[in-house]
Amino acid sequence: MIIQTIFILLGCQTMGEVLARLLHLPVPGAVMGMVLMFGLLVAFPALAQMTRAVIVVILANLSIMFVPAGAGIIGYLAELRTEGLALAVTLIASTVAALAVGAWAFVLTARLTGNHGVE
Amino acid sequence: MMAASLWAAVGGSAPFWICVTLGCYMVATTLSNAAGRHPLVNPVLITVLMVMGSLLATGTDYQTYADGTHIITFLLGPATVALALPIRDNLHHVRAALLPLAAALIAGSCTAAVTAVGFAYMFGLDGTVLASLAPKSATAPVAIAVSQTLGGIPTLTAGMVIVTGVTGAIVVTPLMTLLRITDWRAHGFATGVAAHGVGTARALQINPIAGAFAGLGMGLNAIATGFVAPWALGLFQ
Repeated sequence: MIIQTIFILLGCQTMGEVLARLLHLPVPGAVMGMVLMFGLLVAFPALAQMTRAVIVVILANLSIMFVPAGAGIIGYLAELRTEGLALAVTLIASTVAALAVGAWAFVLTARLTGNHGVE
Repeated sequence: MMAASLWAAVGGSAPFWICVTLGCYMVATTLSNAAGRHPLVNPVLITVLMVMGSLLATGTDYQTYADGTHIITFLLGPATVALALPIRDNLHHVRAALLPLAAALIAGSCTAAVTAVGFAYMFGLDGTVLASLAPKSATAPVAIAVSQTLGGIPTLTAGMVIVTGVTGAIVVTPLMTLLRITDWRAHGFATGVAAHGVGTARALQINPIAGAFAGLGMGLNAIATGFVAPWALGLFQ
C-alpha cells in the first residue's frame, strides 16, 4: 500500500507539473496534482480505499513539513529588529481580516441561497 | 579535539538535522497534546523556534540545515496532492455549497492580499517587501513562485508564509467563536484560504469537515493567488 500510494501521489504531482507548464498556469505542480488526484478518486472509488491508510498518516503529520521553510526566518533576524513590529502587525491584521471576511462571505452567501450550515 | 572532529563529521549531515527536526517535533506534539491541543501551543511554531535555537547554539548556517532537511520539505508536494482525499470524502458537502465557496474564495483571497500589501505600504516598508508579502496566504511553493515573478525575496516570503499560517492556526478558534460562526464549512474554508497548509493542519485537528474544506480552500487559493497577488500589489505602486 505504501509503494502504490507514493507512486500515485508523486505520479499526480509530476503530471500536474507537466499540465501547469503546458497550459502556462501560474500554479505549482503539486496543486495541479491535487486536482488530478481528485479526478482519479472520483472516477475510481476503489483508489480511495487503497490510498487511505497512507494518506491519513501523511496528513496527520502535515505540520512538520513546514518546519524547514519556517526556520528560514533565522536569516532575517537583523531586518526583524527594525521592521519586525510592522511586519508582525501587518501579518496578524491581514490574517485575522482574511479569516473573518472569508468566513462571513461563506455564511452570508449560504444564508442568501438557503444553504443549511454543517455544524 | 575528539568532540571537534566528531562535530565536523556530523554537524553538516542530513541524518543529524533530520533527527533534530523530528526530535523537536516530537517534543512539540507532546507539549501540544498535554495542553489539550490549545491553539497557542502550535506544533509548527514550537518546532521552528526549537530548530532556530539549535542552529544558533551550534553556529550552523540556515543553508546547511535547509539542504540537510530537504527530504522533509520535499514531502510537502505529495502531501498537497493527498489533500484530494478529504475533499473527495466530503464531495456532497462541496456540491451543496458551490456559491458560498466561490464567494468566500474571492472575498478571502482578495482581503488577504490587499490588507497585507496595504498595511505594509502604510508602515513605509519598501517595494520588495510588499512584493514578498502579497502572496503570503498561499501555500509555500506557490507563494515563493509568485513572489519571484513579482520581484519579491523568496526566502522572506517563505518565512512570512509560515508566520501567516501559524497566526491563522492560533487565532482561528477564538476568532470564529467571537464571530459566532458555527458552520464547520465556513470555518475550515476560510482557514485554508487565509492560512494555507498550517491552517489546514490545525483544521484537520479540530473537525474532519473543517479539515476537508480547509484543504479545498488552500488548493483554490493557490490557484487564485497567481492572479490576485499581482493585482493587489498594483494597487499600491
